[in-house]
Amino acid sequence: MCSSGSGSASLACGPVAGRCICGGVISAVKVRGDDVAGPGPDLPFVLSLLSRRGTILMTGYVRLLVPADVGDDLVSDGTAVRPIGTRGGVLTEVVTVAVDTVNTGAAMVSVVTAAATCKRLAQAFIRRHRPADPNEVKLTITVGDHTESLDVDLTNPKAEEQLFDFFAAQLHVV
Amino acid sequence: MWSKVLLPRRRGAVDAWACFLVVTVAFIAVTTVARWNQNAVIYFMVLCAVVCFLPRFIAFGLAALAGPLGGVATWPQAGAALGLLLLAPVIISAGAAVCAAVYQTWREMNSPLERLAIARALRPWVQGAVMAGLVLGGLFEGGWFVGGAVEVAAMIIPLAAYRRSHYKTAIAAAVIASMVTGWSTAPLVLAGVSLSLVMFRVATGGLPRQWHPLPSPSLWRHPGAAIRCMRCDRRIARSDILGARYVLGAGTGAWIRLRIAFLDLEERMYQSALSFGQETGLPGDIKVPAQILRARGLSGTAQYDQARALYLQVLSAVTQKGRLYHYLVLLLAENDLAAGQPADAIQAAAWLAARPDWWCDYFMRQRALRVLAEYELDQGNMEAASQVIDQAMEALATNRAIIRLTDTNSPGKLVRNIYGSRGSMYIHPLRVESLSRAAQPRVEDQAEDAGDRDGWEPELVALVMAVARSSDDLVELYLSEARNAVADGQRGEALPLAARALMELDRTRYLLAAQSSRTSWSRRFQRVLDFALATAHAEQDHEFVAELLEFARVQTLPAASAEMSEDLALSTPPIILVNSRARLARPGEQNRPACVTLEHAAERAAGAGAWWLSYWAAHDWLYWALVAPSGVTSSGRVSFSATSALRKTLDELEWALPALLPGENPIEADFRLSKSPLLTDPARELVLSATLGSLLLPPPLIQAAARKRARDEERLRLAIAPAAALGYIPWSILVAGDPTASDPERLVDVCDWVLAPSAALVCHAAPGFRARAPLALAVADTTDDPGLGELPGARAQAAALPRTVRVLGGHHWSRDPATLTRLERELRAAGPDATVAFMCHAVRGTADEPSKGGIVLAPGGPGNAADQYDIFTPQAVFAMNKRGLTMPSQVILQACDTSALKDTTSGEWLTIAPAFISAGSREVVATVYPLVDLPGVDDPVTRAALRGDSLQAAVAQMQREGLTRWTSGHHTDSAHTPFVWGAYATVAIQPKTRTGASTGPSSPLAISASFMRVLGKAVRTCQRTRAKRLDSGYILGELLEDGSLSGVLDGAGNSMHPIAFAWTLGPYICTRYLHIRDQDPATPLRINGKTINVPGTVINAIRAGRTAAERDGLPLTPHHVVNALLSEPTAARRIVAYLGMLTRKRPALIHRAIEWELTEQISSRLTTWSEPARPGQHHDLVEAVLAHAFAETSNLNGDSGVTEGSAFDQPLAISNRSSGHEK
Repeated sequence: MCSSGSGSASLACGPVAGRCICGGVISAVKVRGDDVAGPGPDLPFVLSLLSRRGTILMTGYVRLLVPADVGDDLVSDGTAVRPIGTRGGVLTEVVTVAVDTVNTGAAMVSVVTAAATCKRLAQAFIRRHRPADPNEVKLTITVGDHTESLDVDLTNPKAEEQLFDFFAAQLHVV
Repeated sequence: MWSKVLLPRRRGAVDAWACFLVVTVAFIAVTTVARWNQNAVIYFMVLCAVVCFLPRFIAFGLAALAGPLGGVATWPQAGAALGLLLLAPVIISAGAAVCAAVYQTWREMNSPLERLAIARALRPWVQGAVMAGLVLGGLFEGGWFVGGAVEVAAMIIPLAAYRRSHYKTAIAAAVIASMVTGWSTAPLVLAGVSLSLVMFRVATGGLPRQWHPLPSPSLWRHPGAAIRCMRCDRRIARSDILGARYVLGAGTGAWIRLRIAFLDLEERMYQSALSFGQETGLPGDIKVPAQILRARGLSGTAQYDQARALYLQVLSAVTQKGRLYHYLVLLLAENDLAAGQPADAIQAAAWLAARPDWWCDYFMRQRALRVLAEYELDQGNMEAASQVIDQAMEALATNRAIIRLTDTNSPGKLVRNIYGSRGSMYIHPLRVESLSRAAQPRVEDQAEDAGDRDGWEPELVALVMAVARSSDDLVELYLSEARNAVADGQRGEALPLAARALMELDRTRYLLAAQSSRTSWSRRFQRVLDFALATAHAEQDHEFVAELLEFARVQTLPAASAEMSEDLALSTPPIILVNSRARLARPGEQNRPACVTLEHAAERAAGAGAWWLSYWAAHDWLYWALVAPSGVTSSGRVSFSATSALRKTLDELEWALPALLPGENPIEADFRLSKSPLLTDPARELVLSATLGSLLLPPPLIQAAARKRARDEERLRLAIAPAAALGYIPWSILVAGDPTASDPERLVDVCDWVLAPSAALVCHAAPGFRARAPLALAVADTTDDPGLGELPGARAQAAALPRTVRVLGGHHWSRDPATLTRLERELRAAGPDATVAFMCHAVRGTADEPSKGGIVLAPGGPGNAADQYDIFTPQAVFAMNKRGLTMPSQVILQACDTSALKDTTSGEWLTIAPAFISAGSREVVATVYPLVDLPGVDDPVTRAALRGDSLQAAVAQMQREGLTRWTSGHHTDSAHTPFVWGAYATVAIQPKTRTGASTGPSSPLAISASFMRVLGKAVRTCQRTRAKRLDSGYILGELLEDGSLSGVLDGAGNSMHPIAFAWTLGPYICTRYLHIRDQDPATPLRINGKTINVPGTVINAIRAGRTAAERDGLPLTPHHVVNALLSEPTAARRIVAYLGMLTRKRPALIHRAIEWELTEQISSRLTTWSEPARPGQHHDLVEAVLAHAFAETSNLNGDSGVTEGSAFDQPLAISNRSSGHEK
């Protein structure tokens, strides 16, 4: 179900701890607080690999451009905060999480790249699913020129798990 | 022991024979001259043989008395024989023993300095012996009575000259004495001895030559330049910097400019070297020296890393390990030591110092040893430092000419020498001596013998260094002496020394064109400034603290020229006065604008009756000074150490602000800011603001604000001059009332405050007249560069503006891109009576170059690439202003941290907001921390801008309204929180009034006590003459005499030189007897029956001196008048030229000495003259001269200087009282 978009070849298929990155599981990367998992044996290699990607992988934080109601959901329980844009020009990379079926406007939120965040993201996407929406949707994550997508049936009981794996893989979180 | 030495059992054969022969010859000579009995010689020889060969039988000498009884001798002859037999062997034995001991000691001495010590100890004895011999010889030759006395009397002067080691004088005087006494022998012997000593000195007295890396042009291709360079190089070799400059003149060729840059570096002026090193198209053989000079310039301006890189680059190109290689190694070591990287420096310096004499240049070895000594001093290793200094002394002493300098133990002699044609060579022993003194006190402390400073005269040494322009040595000297004074509990004496050190450092600051150079130079200030502030604080010298704080903030006045187009050069700043006085007013700057006072600066910045509050962080303290409109000053300091409450509170504040913390990720900052007390928590904000208020707002300010409101029901006007450490402070919300109250008053409630640029900029800016200035132009969201991002809030703001407002944007959304060119055109169209708003990105400069930042504009280059942008920098503002564009009256800078105060660690606040003020704007609304991009336009500031009303009032209103909403819990949007509105701060300058009333300070006539004293003496001197003419020579002479400069120049009291009194008596003799007088006719002034004739030259000089004194912010001093005299073709100038020629001193050095003396007086605060209770004899004449000089001046009296009822109140009354002026 997982497919790589443009530019994925240079990133997605490094053998890490016996598995492919786009497979969703790698050794642990730092996250915040209780979500921190211990570094695996191949962590240095992972870090060197991931550091080529940009900032988000090394810092443990990411800005997400998500559907507005998903953003509100994340902000409401403190999983995310709304970024404060200043006129001083300090920007960082933004990860766009889009659903191809419904356009309700987008909101920017800042999150910690932790397992709990991925779980909350997955729950939010399932929760925002309305009866009028199609069950099978295509989620797309874009980081720079790199795009990954996931086709998922939101009514499937395993959808949350699929979404979690997908987010965890793309945000490089275990 | 001595009995064995003098009367041994047996003498050695040589000793015995020598003794026998000497005594016998003496007896024969006496017998022959006295025509005694020759038969006694045989008898005497027998006795002499017994006494000399058998010393224990000395009693046999008594047998000489038997001679008269036996008829072989007369009684006088027997007496002489007895004396010789008893005394001569003993004297000869003693002399031989002393000589042997000296010889043995001399042989054991390894170092020149130890031998020098022996020579110094023996010299008086040898001289005494020679003098005694000559006196005896004279008496013997002239007879024991009148003839001998006459001959001895004739020898008094040559003997005295010989005693003082003035051998040339001794020769001349001895020859004259011999001639007077009929060519007697004793004076001629003295002349011969002196001549031999002079010849020895000449033969061994060559000073070492200073090596330099300057190539000469080809004699065939550039004969003119080659000859000039050759003459210049000869002078450089003997450190005659002034002579070398004179030879070069105003030449423009590459070789000439290379030498000018070199000479500038020798006098610690760096800019020409920095510029020359960057020139392209230099001849091939000049490139390397030019790079070396540039590296020296960089190192001199504390840009050590760049200098090191350049040195290494040049070093890598040097293949031969000759002088150039050593020179570079030395420069690199000096640079490394200054940069705080001593390991490399020590290694290189030790390598150089260990080279053999023939291999290493004399001066390079000296410098290498000084590097080692300074390192040990820095490390506190006094013993090691003393050893290295001794080594340096010994290395110095390898040159006999230098030995003779050092053995005089008189810096006064060095002072005189440095004025001579040998240039500044004499600075080298003084440098070593200074280091020695720097190490000595601490050693003395250990030895509990702190009073031994004999022979050390810091004032004279400072004079030497000042005239040689050896500013770094001078600064170290002053600092060292100041620290010693503090250690001795004499802080009052330390303050003038610290002030002098700062003035010396300031000399260089404004000569540096690049801001980065000035920033690094400011680091050299810091050490002295820290010391001065701490001492002034301890002394409770509040005015000096206020002056120091303003001095630390570089007095920025942009200059027209710069080293490179992107540099921001400064022009000479004005003197800043506090309560009409200045201690840091370095005199002598011709291009200095009129002085300003802090009281006036406060008024210009914040309005009538404003107070000035300034800050500066130094070491572990934050100093503040508060200047009231009346000039009354208070000051204090707050701990600013790493663990201090202020530091912690500032850290808390920064944590609450939308600026990235060090190492912080922008998204991490999002989480931090979501909990900011300024955004979400009024209670925590109150605690933070109360803490900041209690730490930063001085109690006298709070009390004054309360009094003002109680009395006038107005808020106190306040100009805040913050330090860089306080760059993010939202001043408006600081609690300025009772912090325990539930809703205490904030600063914005009690004060109408503005941020103040430097006092110089505030007072010299030229704002337009007050007029309505409606918003005419808005610049919004100028770029979508990925590194900055779009600003939807700014675009929404622009869209909400009325159509009357011209909107410029970015290429990505607007057809009217805000390019630099377009902006300039629109600013011209808007005119000065308009408001312009910038709602876009701003970028900050760097800590080294804060002025590199500015407002982000749309790219104007070809292609208009969307991912690029231009920056509207302060330089661009000045450039537009120079092209005749007056900036709009009001400017709103709604961008991130447009004050950029945080970057101004060097004290130079010339970022975009002050730049607008300097270029004609009246009010600039800036931000003190990053501004959130919000769309709202319905705020008091925008409304006031649309109406054209004052922005300062609108900002205050917005902040007061916001505060009310915030504290009452009615804030619903981030725009309602101090997180947003707290960022605003106004930089303002009061507009001109239509009535044309001057807001500047009055110009009182203040006169120093020294001027009245000098003029009074000059008047008294000229009254003794028949012509009663006050020629400039009299004023010159009295100035030199008054400040004891003449004594220093002459060495009076320490000199037997024929022209020792040239500078003491010379001006008087030249004026009175040689008739060197001012050419123009004199105006006779009569008063109380007395007349004085005053040449127009003198009157003009007094007037010019007054202008210069006003420019320097000082009362009129005699130095100003004499400088004016010396700058015109006056008698005083001719006298200086003649005396300079006579004493081999360059007139330029006399100028420098006069300037130095004035600077010394300023640092100790000049005493202003006041009417004495009992005026002097010629006081009325002095007043008449001044009244005549200032008759055309409308405002002759001031609050300081002249008391009521003096003649200056009514200058014309003098002519009424007298019989009037006669032409």
